[in-house]
Amino acid sequence: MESATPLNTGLMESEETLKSRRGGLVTDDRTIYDELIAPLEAAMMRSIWQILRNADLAEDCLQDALAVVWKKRFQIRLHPNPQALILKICLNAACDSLRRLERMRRQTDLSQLDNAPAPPDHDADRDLEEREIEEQVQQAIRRLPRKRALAVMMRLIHEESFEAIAHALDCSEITVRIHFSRGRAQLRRWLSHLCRTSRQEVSNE
Amino acid sequence: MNRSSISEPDLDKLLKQALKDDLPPEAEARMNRQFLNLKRTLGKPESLAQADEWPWMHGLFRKDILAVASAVVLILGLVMQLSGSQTALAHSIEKLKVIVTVSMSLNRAVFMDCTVMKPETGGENTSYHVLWRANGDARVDMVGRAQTIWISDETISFADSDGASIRSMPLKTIAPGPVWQPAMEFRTPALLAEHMEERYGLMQTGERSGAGPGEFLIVGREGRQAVEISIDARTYLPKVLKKYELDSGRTNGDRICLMEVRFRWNQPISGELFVPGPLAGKR
Repeated sequence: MESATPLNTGLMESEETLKSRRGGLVTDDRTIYDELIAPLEAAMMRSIWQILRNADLAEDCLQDALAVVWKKRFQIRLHPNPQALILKICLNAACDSLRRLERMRRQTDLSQLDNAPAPPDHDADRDLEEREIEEQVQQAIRRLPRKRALAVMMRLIHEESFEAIAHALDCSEITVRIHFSRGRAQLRRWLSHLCRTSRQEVSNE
Repeated sequence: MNRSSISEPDLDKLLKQALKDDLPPEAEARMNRQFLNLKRTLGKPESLAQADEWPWMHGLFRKDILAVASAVVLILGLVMQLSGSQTALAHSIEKLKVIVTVSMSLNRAVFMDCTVMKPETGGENTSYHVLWRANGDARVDMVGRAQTIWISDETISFADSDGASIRSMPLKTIAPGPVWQPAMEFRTPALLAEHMEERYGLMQTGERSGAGPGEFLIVGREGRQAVEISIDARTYLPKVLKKYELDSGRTNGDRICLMEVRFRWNQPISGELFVPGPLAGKR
């Protein structure tokens, strides 16, 4: 049976590779969706929300991320860690949205906010403070080089292993550790004032 | 407190606090809408699977050409402005015209018969015979090894392990192995035209010793390889394509030929040869 043919002599891809490809790829779009995206719907939404914290932006960002995931669906299915890759795509889209947001902020006339009504909540000061901290963290993440930002978020916020991050970023584990360590060091410098504030709050409490 | 006194756990805590997982229901509902939209699109006959391929296959390809053409025109304009000479512009437009004419001739071809020879170490050649006809059918034979693949309608067919039966699979789900790649580059005239426009770069026309009577040579580059194509001056179709090691032959040595492809155009080819089957292997 195993005589010379284009596919089983090593001249083309091996029979095993073909079998796995056949099993893995000859599927319709609905199956791909059910296998690849459906189990990660919640994770995708949450990963984007955690960075953007704005419903409009998060919705647009998810749309962008889904477009990328769908376009790369076959590549993702063959990836050693599809979940990590999809998470990376979502975080990447979120970083892009943060940059867009920053550009929009620069173009918006902030004086319009002076006429906006104050929040009715009695705990408004605390909310405002939290919002400021969130914004400064977002800004710091936006300032980080992309791979450092992804490594820090995937590791710290999503607790992915270095191996999974390396697969998603398509680099070695050592490189990921370097990105992570440098990214964290930069964030420590940029957010040092916030760390002090939060520590003081804890000690006051 | 100096900067170095801030501990990593403090930073981690701050990040986790600022980027906490507190997705509100209204945001969740809005994001869910995006998943529903995608699922709905999958149910439609013209699914995303087709929709997302076209812009890349056709739209952006054209945009690239337009972008390159615009850049070329701008550069040529500048050159003309600075040099005060109009001959450079005329010459460059002539080169572009040649490439476009060759590309158009390739896209008008009805039959293609080409032989791809790739010298291997040890003096041996690997040869392929590629046949193509305008309805999209193609057949690639590996000369001397009695191996054939047929490509038709984005389906690839090959002889099964017993050599008697034929298996067919969608081309997008299975890629021919690396050993077939030299031939796959010339699977269709449109693919060759695409390579000429994109991969081989903008070529120069020139009079080189490689071009025979009634031919002219266009020269390009692909990575570390020099590409030379002799074009039939009457039909504007390629006759021979050769790839050389880029720096070979500079010091009066022989040029190292990495690939030679000889084309025959528009000579009728029997339809039987495009029908996958064990008998079709006997040409």
